[in-house]
Amino acid sequence: MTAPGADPAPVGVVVVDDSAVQRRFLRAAVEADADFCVVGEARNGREAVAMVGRLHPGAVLMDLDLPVMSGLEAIERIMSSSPTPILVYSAFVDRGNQVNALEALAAGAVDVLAKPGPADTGSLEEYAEALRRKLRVAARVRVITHPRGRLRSQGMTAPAPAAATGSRLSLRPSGPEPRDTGGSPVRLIAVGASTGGPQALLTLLGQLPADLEQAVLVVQHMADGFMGGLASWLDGLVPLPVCVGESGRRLTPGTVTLAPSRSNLLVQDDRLRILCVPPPAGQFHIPGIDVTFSSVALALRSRAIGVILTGMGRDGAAGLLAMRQQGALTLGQNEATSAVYGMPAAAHALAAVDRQLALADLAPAVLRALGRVPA
Amino acid sequence: MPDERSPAGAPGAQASRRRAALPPDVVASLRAAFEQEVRRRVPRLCRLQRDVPGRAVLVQAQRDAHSLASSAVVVGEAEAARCARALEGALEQCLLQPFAPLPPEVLAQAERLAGLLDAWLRR
Repeated sequence: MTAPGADPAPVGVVVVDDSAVQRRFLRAAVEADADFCVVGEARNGREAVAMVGRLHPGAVLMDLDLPVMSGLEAIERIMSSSPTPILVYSAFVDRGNQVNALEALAAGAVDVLAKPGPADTGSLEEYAEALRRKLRVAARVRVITHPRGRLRSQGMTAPAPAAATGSRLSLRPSGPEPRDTGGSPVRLIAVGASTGGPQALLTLLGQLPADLEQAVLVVQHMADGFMGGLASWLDGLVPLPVCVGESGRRLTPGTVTLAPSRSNLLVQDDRLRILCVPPPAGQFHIPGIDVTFSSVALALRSRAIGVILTGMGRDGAAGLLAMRQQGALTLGQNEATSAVYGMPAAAHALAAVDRQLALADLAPAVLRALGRVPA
Repeated sequence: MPDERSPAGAPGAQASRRRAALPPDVVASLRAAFEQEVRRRVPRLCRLQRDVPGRAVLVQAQRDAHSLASSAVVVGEAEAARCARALEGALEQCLLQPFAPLPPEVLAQAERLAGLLDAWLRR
């Protein structure tokens, strides 16, 4: 207990950054104020979550671009389990990257501060003072369990999303026009499949209703020349119309679009324009799932749902991870119902899958995430 | 939002408790940490020159460029920071097409960054 008139104990701060240089600088900057004391240093989001749960600091300084677990995911987890004032400092929350700042705040962070960049003219001491000023304010904010993290911990989607990662795709500069992601509904369901895929697609797509408001994009590994046939086959069996994508067009809500043979399909922007590009020499699986999922992660962030179905190899795992790191709900087919438990296993091993489900349960999970009642 | 006064109350009430920011020994330790970071990360960037990189290599290279950019700012190496940031952005584009040969300008950027940081190490 603090004696009357004695200085209160300093506020414990956990510093999270994968760079030793940054951690050292932050420790020095924070501890230049005797009201603060750095009680722990974490190198990635996972360490941060564990450390905050163990040490119960008074505040957290969090970078966003972290390996293993992104800063945004760590924020969500901390705010759902050990609510703590978090001040984000990152190279990706400046004026050109307002979306990242908004996403960090939506995830539960109290405030954001851009790391000094190459073009900044201020001194380190000035930056350190700005950091302390923000930290002093942040440390006094009373935080509560954040709803987004709570929803995600229950395997449900949340209204606004975010990013981050190990993959760094979540945190790239997003261009001059900030995207409106706050509370936006899911726009796209992206599905990857390989060996055993057509049957799995039939089951999955067969449960999606004809009045679905989202576009569905399917990347199925398939030999050249068979994609049109697959589209025709599915089109006759599932409620939604099915077509093969064409470069330059947009994906259509309520329509299943198959990635064409002989190329990789990229989703270019949140207007769902697609671009089909020749695969690089040596690419084994064409069309590639990783490439498409990664583009979806960049273009739509959390406003997409990723599904990885049966298949040999590991294509799709990294792309699905990128989607998950952006805040998208990601689902994987389980081993028991997979014809070949290769791609879903690889995705699961990469921690790219939010939920692993039996094939028959995937579409209901998608519909529930969209706020619809499965038939 | 709460105001920005010190926890004790009036602005500046605890100013005497605040130590001077970034004393020389801290600056020296930052440079030492940066040196370790350069020695760890730059060789990985140099690997880009060798083979057609896969996704994991590109992701790591981009992370290395990102960290070097931010850290170079901390130690006052603005030119290296700019170069690293530009490389980071270029690698972002390359990530859309992993397993493709890297454009010559990207390789040149990586080489330039390695050169700048090598010169810093020698100083």
